[in-house]
Amino acid sequence: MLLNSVILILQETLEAALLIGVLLAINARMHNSHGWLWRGLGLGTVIAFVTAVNMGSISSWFDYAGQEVLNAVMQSLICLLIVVTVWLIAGMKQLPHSTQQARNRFGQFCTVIIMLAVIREGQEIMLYLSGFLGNSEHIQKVFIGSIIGFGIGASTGILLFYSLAGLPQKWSGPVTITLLALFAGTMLSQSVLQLTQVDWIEQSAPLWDSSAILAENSLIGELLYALIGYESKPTAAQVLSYAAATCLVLLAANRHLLTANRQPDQNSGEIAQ
Amino acid sequence: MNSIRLFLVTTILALVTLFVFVSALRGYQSSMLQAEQLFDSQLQVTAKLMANVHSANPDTSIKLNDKLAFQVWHDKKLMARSANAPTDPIALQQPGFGYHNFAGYRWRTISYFSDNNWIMLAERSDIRFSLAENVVTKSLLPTLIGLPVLGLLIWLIVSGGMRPLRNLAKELSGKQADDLRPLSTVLPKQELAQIITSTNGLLQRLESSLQREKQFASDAAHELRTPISSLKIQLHNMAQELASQDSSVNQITQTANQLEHVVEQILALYRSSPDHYNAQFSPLDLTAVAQDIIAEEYSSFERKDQTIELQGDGQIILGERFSLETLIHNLLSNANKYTPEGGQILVSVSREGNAILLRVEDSGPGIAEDQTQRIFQRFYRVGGDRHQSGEPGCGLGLAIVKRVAELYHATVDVGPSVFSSGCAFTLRFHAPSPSQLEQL
Repeated sequence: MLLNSVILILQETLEAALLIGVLLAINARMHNSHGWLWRGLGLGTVIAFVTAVNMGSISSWFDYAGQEVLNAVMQSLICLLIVVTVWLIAGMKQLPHSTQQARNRFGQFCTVIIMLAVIREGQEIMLYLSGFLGNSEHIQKVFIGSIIGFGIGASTGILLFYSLAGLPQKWSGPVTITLLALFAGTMLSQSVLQLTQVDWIEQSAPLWDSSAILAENSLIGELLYALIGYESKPTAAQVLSYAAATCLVLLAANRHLLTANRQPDQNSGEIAQ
Repeated sequence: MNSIRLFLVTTILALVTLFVFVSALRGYQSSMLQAEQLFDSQLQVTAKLMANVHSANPDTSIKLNDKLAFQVWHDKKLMARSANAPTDPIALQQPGFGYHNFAGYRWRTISYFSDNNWIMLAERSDIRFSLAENVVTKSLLPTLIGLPVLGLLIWLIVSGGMRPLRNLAKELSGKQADDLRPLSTVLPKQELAQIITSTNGLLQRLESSLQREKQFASDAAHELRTPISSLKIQLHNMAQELASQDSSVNQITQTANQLEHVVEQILALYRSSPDHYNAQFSPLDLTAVAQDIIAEEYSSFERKDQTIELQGDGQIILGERFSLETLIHNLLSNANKYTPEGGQILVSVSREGNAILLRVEDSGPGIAEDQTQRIFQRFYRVGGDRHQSGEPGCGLGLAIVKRVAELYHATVDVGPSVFSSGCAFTLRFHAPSPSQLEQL
């Protein structure tokens, strides 16, 4: 019971913590305030609670595919917002000297991304924990497991943030963009997986099976799952969606290549170089 | 996120949490494995004991607790079983451990062959797991409770470690503008010693440099005063000696007057610098001071046929006479210069809430909005070298006004005057509270 709680909470926390860590590092380089983070966390927690309470009726939507469809929509939205956010920062000439308007707009996008991530992860945690509320035998183990899972996830997020913030300027841009590209890939491939589970997308045989080399439920597997969306048995649709989202983010990061003919002077955001 | 303390505390705590929790998980896994082996060895001992005491009566059903079940088989014949065991074999007739399902549960089983009999003993798997987990979980509790305490200790230690840095920052921020004394170097931490030594060196060089500047400005101005005075006397004598009005002598006299004015203004600017100003403030009637200066300068206004009026009753501020005189003198001189012949100048002193306002308004050409900030810069004159007032001036007057206003924590605003043209300079002083006046 303890190990199950650790794995579930870790999986949910790690994903959100790493995303927050990356966005915090970009905002720190912009000298942006942290209001967007608290707004995203607050709104996300409240909506996650409301969603978890009403999950019974939500699940019955779309012929009892409601929960999966809702998750898929939120994950696709996060992916889309990451692309837009990267496009925005690629358009800024120098992050530390970005205008207040650009910083505010970027902060608003970050708020929505964090809010969606917290809703998705938060409602799953709340649903899981609410199942043990009346169970005196397991509650202590679930509680301890949750704290351990949350502690590992949050600590990894904090260390990622400080590692990114401490990177030399010429490395921080490429590393941050690569991480965001992989996050976007993870989100879209998870969205495809959710829709496959409710038969909205046709089921197909996995392209490969690497569970013998690295199991998904091992600690390293969990970390890689949260960081780069590692799946030991991915389907073709998942791999394709992962590659598409990753490429889209990388293209957005190099918007100067797309707009070079029109705006030769306003290309190359510092972070995208 | 720019705080060093926050960085140290969060990263140390995050690393400790990560290592402690991952170790706890590893510990949990290995403890659970150990517990499993312990339960297995107990099961084995129990099976061996049973081999020695089993009954040969096949119909006997022995009641055990729900946790355990057993069977004794002689070839294919069930010789004995517990009440909760089925009549079918609960394990394989092979020596060793295994997992089997019966009676709605998963069981850990052992098969032991002795005296041509198979002793099969089973223990509920979920109860074994739960028992083991309860023990292991309890061992994790102190780690979890200890972590916030550890966090608090890390916070206190980091805060304590950073105290010398905070003290240094406090000492630096608490320094007055004119305080160039070296920083205290009583047992500085090794990491701060270099900063303190470098800062002290910098302060020492700055003090010598300021001292040299002070000496130079003071000496130069004083030394220039005497030759200028002699020059003016000689020019006066020369003008007397020359019968006719020589325009060259007039021009030289005008230039000498301008030179004298520049020297006086440089001295005034230097004396009104906040870094070097240590005057004691006392209650002063601002209207009376303004009246005295108007009386002193009246001839200048009369010469240009200007009318000057003073409005207002006694308004007391905390100040120092010389600096206030310098301020009003410069404002009036400015109005006198820029107001055309026959123009009007209005000086008013009034109270507005907690502020006392000194306003000097003229009917001159006024100041364009884009010039209102620049006029307070040193050596700046409206119109630059094409300045048409024809009066001696060096562009220091309003810079001095601003300096003196800063000494009084007063604000200076420029706006339109009450006349059809011209500008108004408004100085807003803090009105002293009754308690401040009582203390003085």
